[in-house]
Amino acid sequence: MIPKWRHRDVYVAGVGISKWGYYPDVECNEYASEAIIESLHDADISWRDVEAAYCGSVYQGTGCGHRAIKEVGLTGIPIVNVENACSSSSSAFRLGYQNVAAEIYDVVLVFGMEKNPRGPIASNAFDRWELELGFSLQPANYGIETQKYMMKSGASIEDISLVTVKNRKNASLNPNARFRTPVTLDEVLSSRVISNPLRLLHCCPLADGAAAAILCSQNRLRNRSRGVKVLGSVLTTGLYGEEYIPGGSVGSVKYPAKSNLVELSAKEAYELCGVGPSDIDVLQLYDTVSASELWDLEDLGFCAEGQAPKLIRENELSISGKLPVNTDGGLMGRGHPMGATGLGQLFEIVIQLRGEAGKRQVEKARIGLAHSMGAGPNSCVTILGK
Amino acid sequence: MNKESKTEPFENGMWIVKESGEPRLLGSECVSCRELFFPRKKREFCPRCQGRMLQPIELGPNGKLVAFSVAEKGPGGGYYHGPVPYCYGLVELDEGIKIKSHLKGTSFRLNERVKLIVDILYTNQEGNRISFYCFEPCSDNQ
Repeated sequence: MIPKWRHRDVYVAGVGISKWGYYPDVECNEYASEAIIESLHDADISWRDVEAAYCGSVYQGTGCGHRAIKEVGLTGIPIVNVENACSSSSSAFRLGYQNVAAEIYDVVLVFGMEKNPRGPIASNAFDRWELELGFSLQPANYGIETQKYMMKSGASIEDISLVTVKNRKNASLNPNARFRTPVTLDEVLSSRVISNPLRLLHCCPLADGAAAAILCSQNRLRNRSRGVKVLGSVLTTGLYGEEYIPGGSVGSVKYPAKSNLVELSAKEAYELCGVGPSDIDVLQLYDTVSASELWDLEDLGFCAEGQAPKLIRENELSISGKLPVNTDGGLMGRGHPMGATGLGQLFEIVIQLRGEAGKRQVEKARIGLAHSMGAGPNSCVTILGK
Repeated sequence: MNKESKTEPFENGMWIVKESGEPRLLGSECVSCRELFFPRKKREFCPRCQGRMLQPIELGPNGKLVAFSVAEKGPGGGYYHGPVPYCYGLVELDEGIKIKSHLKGTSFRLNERVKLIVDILYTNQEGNRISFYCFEPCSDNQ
């Protein structure tokens, strides 16, 4: 790889987002183009200046990004559709960042969008024999991972439930979130069982939505004070022998992996960006289920193994805590439009670093990290700085 | 006209039943690094060490339950026709390989000994019984 010092700096010039929710009668193109137009306006950059576009989505099908861009205006630029499971739009962001860093283009649009199929999703991230045996049911796969995490860390069901309580509280402060009513610990603990030990309010709700960002070189930044610098973006996939059941990998007994893909992506990201966990002021983590926010904190090096439950119990992960996590409500409160989630996380980091997050603003936020996972498995870590 | 109902596996080549009536899973072993794979690899190539010789191996019937969950609803997509709710998890076989499997029974404990069986997953539209491998707690468990 080309060393980082040979890359030029890349900035997020502007961001846009649609309000995430449930829109059975609205086409994906409509809210995706709304997010794109908002990002152009926010960046004060003309559509004619955009030289390439990457669209992340999971279930939108052939040429879906092209259809969204048709609503903004066809200009002949290359448009590439990126399907990388739930890290699709963070992968699209990374491709755009690399294009600008490598001086291939000066201005690139990256966006993510999803209109979810209704009901349980027909996953094609598993082999056919696994589908026939029903091993593709993600709540059960996350149930297995949650059970393993609880055994290893000593986390109680109350600890895990506190993540939902915190994230739903944060979502109540976010006008773009799908669920804006807070929930109590009792409500979480008495919600219906989905897949033991997970209950309904431990599982993130799906949503329809889109988010977009304009990436550019420093000389194309119209408003220097609002630009947020991309310190780096790293994407890793699974390692031989590691176990991640929702990602479709069963661990090896004879040759277990010495690291996992999240630890690997974090290590590479900290090296690339020249920052470590202690430098980071605000975090967007992957709370597909409440427990995954906790194991994410440990795998990314924000605390020692088994220490995350203590952080949530002591309120350190709230907006006013030492380590604010999922300030916009996370997947749990904001909702999870699979192909848009990665960019939704980055939208929040940008807003936080600009000091525009209103009631959910983290004080003196200078550096932020977003982490998205995906079936495959994928792990994408992006660090932004002001 | 009723045809006699048959029993057929949900997928061929995943297990055999020995003369004693005991089932075994069919896997592969890498000749170089001894890593085990289930189901059997169709190509002679080891994804761990990239060795080019694998040999067929029989696995099971004994192992321990290392993690599990209960699916209260079935997955979408129309591939799964088995009972709902259903329980599945990870079984570590004594040979040193973890596999995903349904679990038969009403209650399970982590690390308890389990044993391979062949059972009926569902009956298809032609009236044939579709069999599959699964594990159940050993009868001598406390």
